[in-house]
Amino acid sequence: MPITAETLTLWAGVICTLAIFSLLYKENPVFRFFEHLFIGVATGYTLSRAWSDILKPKLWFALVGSGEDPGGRWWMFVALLIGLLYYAIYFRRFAWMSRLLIGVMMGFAAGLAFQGIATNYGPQIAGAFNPLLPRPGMTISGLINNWVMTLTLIAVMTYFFFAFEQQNKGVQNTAKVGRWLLMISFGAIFGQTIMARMALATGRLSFLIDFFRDPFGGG
Amino acid sequence: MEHATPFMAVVLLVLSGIILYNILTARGGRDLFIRRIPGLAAIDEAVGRATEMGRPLLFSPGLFGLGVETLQALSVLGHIIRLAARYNSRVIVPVCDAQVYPIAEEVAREAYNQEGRPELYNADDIRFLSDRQFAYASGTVGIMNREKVAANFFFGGFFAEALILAEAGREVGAIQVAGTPSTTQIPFLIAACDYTIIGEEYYAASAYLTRDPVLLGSLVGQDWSKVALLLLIFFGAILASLGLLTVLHWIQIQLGMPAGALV
Amino acid sequence: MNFLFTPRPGPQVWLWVLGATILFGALLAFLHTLPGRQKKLLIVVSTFLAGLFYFLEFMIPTTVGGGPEGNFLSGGVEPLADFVLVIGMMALGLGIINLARVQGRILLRMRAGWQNAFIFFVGLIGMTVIGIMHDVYPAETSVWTPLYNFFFTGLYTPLASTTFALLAFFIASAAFRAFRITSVESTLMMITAFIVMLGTVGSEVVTGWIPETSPFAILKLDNITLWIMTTVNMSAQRALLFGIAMGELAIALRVWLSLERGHFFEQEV
Repeated sequence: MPITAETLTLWAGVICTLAIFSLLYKENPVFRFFEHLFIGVATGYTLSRAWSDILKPKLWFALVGSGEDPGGRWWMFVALLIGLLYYAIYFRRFAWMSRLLIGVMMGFAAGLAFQGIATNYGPQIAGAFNPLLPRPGMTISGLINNWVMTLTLIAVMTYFFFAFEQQNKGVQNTAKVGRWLLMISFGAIFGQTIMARMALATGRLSFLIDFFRDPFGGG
Repeated sequence: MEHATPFMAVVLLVLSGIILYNILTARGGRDLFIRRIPGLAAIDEAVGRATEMGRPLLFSPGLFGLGVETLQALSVLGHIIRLAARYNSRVIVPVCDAQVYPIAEEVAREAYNQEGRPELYNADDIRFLSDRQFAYASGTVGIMNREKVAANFFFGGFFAEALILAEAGREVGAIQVAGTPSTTQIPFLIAACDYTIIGEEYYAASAYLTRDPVLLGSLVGQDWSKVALLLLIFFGAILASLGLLTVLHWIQIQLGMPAGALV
Repeated sequence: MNFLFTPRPGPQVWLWVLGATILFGALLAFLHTLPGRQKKLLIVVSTFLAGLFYFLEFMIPTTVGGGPEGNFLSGGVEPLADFVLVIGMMALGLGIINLARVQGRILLRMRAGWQNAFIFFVGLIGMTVIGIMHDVYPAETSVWTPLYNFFFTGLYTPLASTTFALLAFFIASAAFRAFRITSVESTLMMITAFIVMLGTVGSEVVTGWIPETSPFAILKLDNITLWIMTTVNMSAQRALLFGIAMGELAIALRVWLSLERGHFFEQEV
């Protein structure tokens, strides 16, 4: 059976799979070796993508042009210069320069947060407007569900009050029920995820089984 | 939502105003209360145990990139390093995101300086591993085993790798404290860690740990802004109950609800 | 403004690059002479202005001085994103230096585990070079294609997906442990997990005998699961998210306005 590039690739995949699974027995030199290989390859992949997805199209082509684009956007080079300020971290006298850049990046992150909050949570607020009185077309169970939802919301939010002393017994109990309801909710997420995770393992195991049935990939 | 609708802009400004007002008044030296958060009280215990065992601590600031979630994680990191510096303990910080890495380094350096122990800072302990999720996870598991860490802190935004980290940490016998705003990972951290702080407790952490007036004021502001949110929700529920659908739907659309989801 | 940001294609771009570099260096040299307090102020102001851009871009109505898609700041979002991406790539170099320093020291001093450090460099250099060359010569017949396949499909993909697959075993052990804890909270969580898991995959086996039309149909596991997911779970998660939202808003404000003292950059610059 000739050994082709495809066979080698397949074998490498099998060895990598077995090496990582060996962690389930215990941490061992083989796992350690492949863990280092993994970090090397993953970081190398990031670097190569950094070139092909970002530095080449957004910096190099912006300067020298490509195809229809004549380039000449010299200011993109300034981004590179600004980025170099990170390296001032290695020189205590100039470290303020890296802090300036870090401050700007943190400012961007903070400024962007407002949009994130509005987009992620606005519809959730709107979704919590449940009618609590019977409306035309609403079933009894629908009404009960609306009450369950609203009370759950209040109980869980009560749990998350930090700065008000919960001296009132009623408030204390509401917060406690709120925590229980949270646990039910976490249980629901747990239960939903279990089977998806099992599918991952069966995927890898069937890869191994397929290999051992036909190690040379000749069909 | 590409741009704030007028109603959303007002909501954001009111909520921000409430928080800022409380921060500013707290700076004036108001006495502020904060309830006990058990998971956070456990941080001291975990650092103490690592010190007794003479083994390092590990702090993972999560996999989210540079955003408010990670900035909160780094704020907690600063506190843990200051605590560890007092006891002469080492803190290893595997970092996943390249932009977070220099900030983590600065936070660590500054924390050691604040405790008057700049010599304890070791640049190699703040480690960039990989920005690929599972490479980061396997590298962190490797560090836990090789360095025989006595305590793990998982603070930050996590994805599926959260459980890999927490279960591997349990295998090495580390005491584990986790805190995350990633709601889908909380159940797994609860199952695998000794203490898990959940949801907004994560954002209360720095106020709780430092008792800094600005942070405490901010926390009081967060509580009041939640009261404001609840009032808005009650208002919406009243509109819905009375069948004032025109106003209700206008508000819902302004809040970003897709027109197809209106009832 | 328009004069400055006009593209300068051809060789003249390098003159502009040179000019920008000299100006940038001069600006830094000047700022470096400022006393520490003013540098600190500079950092605070820059942080604020950076945040202000995105804050205003989001908050100002689209009708103010812009096209149909946005306000007068919206045109800057995309170029700024590209700009920030390139800056971010420079941080990646910082991370690589750290990784290479830690591993390089082990390798050069032949310390225990030098083999691991060696294979790390093989992976790093191999994947970087092959990845870039494959991008330059993407043809199927290129010598770089099988090499790329070997590194990406043979090494990277199985390493990543097997690490992901470890979760199947870890979730089982976590569930097993959680089941044995006898607190109210843990019991509630795991009973719900069990119901939802069965409701998702095994409802027919367990409660399939209850007819759909029976008044007891609500006890069918898939119906119970649906009810938990759409009422208790949805509402509890919502409440959880509202708290998180306020936490995010608070830290965004504190970072933006540099109110977070003692946590980030307190020391003298």
